[in-house]
Amino acid sequence: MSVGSIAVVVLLFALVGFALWRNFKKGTPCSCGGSSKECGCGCCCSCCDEEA
Amino acid sequence: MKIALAGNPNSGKTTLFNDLTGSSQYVGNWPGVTVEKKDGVLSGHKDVIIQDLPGIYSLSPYSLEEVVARNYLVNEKPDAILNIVDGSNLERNLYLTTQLLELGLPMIVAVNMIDIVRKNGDKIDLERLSKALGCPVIEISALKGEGTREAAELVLSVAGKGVKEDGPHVFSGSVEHALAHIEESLHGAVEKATSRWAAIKVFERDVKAIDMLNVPHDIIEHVEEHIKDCEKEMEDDAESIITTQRYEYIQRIIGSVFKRSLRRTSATLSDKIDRIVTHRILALPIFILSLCAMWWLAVAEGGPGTKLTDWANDGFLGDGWHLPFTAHECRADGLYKGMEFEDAKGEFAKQEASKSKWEEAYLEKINEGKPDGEKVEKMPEKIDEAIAKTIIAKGVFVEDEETGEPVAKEDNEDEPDLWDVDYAAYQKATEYEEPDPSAFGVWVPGIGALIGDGLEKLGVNDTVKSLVVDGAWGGVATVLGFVPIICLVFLFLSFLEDCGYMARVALIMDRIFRRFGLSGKSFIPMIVGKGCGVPAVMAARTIESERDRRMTIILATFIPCGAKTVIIAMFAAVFFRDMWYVAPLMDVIGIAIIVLGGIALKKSKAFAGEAAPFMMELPAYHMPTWRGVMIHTWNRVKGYMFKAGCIIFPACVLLWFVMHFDFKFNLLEDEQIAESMLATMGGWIAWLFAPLGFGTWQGAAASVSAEIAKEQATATLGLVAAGMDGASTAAHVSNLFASMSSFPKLAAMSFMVFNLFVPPCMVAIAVTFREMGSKAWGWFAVAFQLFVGYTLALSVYQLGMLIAGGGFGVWTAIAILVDLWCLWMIVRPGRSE
Amino acid sequence: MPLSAMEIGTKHRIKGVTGNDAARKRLEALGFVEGMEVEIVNKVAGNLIVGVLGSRVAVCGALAARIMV
Repeated sequence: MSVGSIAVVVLLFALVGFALWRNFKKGTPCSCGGSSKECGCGCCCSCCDEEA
Repeated sequence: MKIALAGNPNSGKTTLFNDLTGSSQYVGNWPGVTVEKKDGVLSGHKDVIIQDLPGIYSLSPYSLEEVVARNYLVNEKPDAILNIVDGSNLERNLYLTTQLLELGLPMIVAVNMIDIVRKNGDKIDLERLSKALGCPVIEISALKGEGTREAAELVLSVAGKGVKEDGPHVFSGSVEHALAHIEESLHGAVEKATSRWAAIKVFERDVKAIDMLNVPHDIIEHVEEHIKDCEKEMEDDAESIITTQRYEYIQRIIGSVFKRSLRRTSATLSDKIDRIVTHRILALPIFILSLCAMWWLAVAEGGPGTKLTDWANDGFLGDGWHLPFTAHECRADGLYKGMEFEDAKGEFAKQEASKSKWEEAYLEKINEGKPDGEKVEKMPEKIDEAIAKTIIAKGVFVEDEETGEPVAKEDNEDEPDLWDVDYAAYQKATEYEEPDPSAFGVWVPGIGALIGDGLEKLGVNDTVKSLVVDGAWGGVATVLGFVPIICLVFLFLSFLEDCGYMARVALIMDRIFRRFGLSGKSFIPMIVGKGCGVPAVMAARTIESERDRRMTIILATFIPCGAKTVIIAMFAAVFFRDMWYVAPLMDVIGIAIIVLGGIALKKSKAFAGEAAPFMMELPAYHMPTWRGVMIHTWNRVKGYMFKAGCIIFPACVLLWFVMHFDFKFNLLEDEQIAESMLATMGGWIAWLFAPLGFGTWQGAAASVSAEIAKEQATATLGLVAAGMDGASTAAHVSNLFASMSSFPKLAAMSFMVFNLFVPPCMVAIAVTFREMGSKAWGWFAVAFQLFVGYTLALSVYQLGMLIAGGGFGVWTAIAILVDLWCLWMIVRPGRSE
Repeated sequence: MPLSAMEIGTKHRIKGVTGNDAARKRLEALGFVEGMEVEIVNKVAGNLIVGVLGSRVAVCGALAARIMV
């Protein structure tokens, strides 16, 4: 394997690690714009910030 | 310091909250689904926290939002209340104000929408209002940012200070008399500041409030006599006396503070619109039409959605694109001179096809009669002119990139565009080179092309290249490619919600839902569910009846959510380009499942019973602000981008590994993928999907991985189909389904239906379990959803095949039997109560 | 007469709401109290859109039948 290949693989794994770490720390992102840990309600969507 | 924002739904609290805290929470125009409060820091004052409470009409204990707001105000005691009232609807709004004033907390009243009041020509005498209520009053326009700073300063000036003893004189003599007695008895049992509020609650016999305040039982018994006397005198029950007298009081003060303009024509346009959209015959068609309009915008052939998606897939994320307005015909001399880029690409494809077909024919000719070992595989350097001149490749055609089918002639004939290639044409074809896009305008390379080039330059080996390009990037790009469609769907939904139409839909749906014992209120979670199933399940919390709430939770996620929109978009683009109605049909099927499933569930013992009564304020229609719609849309779209990065991306990398290694951790060649871990594991369960038409390891892997997040289904399909023939992901997927079933369109439809209507993603399932409050109910919901999804996919595929001429098999019989059983569950006589 | 029996476009003064349950309390909180003037804006398959206190409230037929005018 060339140096380039190794660099690319390392970079990719760093990115995967970051994504997983972020999920773990901030909660799972949700289709409606928030993360599950932000508001403690499972998903930071309309349940917390939509307001009539 | 804590400042609580309290007010009626739709009074502009969140607009004020955003203005004061500089945040961008979503502001809607429909009665809410909010059951929790939201905190923010007042900009310019780090130590001041603004708390936005759910919109409420009163502090009575009959709805969850009201209990949440009330418990917060009584238990947490904010330093001040900022009561925001809608100036254009003062009478209704002041009802809550009279209740808030009794809490004994420092408070100011901000009369909002003062701009509308002025436009109507009405006048509000703030000084008199302030005097009558006994608290400072200020006029603001939260939308225009007028007076909001002053309101914040004003509330800070009263915060933490004492409150005047005598509040407004709301009640009549005999009620005040009874209240005075109660207050006296409560002396020592409750805090002095809240004693008036406590007295009123005791008078109303509000059990929840009495429990919360820990009022001793003997006091209650002692004062009961006074309450009864008062009730006898007024000939009504205590609680109604209080309510009626509040309104009487408000009407008294309104007379002196509010000068109604004569030229006022209140809400007539709104009423006119309502006569049409809630018309007894037109209502439903208008609703379905608006769904069709939304989907047309998003996925119709030639509509803005498909154009943007094509650009995102092929241009921005793919090879590249020409900057708008710079594209021109080729000016450089050469074979493409005078052509547009698209035509040049078509021409190149045609020449390539001619070349390869002719070469095939030539090789066949020179190999004629030779034994297997001596056959020439590659084109020789030197072509035998004599033989070449006799060769004419017949019936050459260009394959369509998307479908893999021959491209039809432009002039409306159904015959494929076939032509013959002789030696001269072949020689000409060899001169063509791939058109250079930069000769046709300013060319911006796509991200996919940049990654490919970058890896090329780094000298990365093929395996790593496949990992990055097919695995990581491929999956993420498949999901990101649908962002334009998501944007359009949410833009449209946000518009419908913000203008006030969705509240009417709840009313329209009420009469349908009532048939199976749910009220229109249950439709609110389903509207929310169009965005995301998780808040939909949460929104069911506001439904008081346990039975209705459980049923709503089970049914709400059948509405295709935003993530499922991605699946619909992919299949609409790959298989149903000429069937515009497929996408809106999925929403209609979702609603139909809710109705029919509801009817069937209702006939079981657990759900039998009448629907709860339905009442809901219908906000006046108004033109949504661009800003509001944009914020709403962006908040939701942002979620997709994050999801693509944080969930889809790692999942795709993992999938690439299980797809390219076998169980002995040997790296596999592309041709050996069928021996990979993914293929093996998929194979174990593939038989489950065989009756549905996609019983291969690829179909199984895509369906199972969709439980991570529904859009993963498209990413996984893109990944497992990468080895198929074709130039684009669409062609790969199309060919994948062709390899699964002899009725690829039916298999595709079945796959789509299955993934839309089986249980939602893991997060939504987890929330379902939590909100159900019991494992048994959680499992029941999942089992019900699995049954519905599987049955629907089975029916689509088996009955579709029967109609399309696929013959009658065991599974056709099973599908018909299951459908008949479902039909029986729906039409059988219900339980009598 | 119950409100549900009234024609579209007519205005009425409420005499009272029958029954004594949570639904009645919520109706009262929305302004359906004795003496309040209400207008029937539209009827949708038995459900009513009622103008009360300057805004529009949708009320199902069963509830409207309990509002006496």
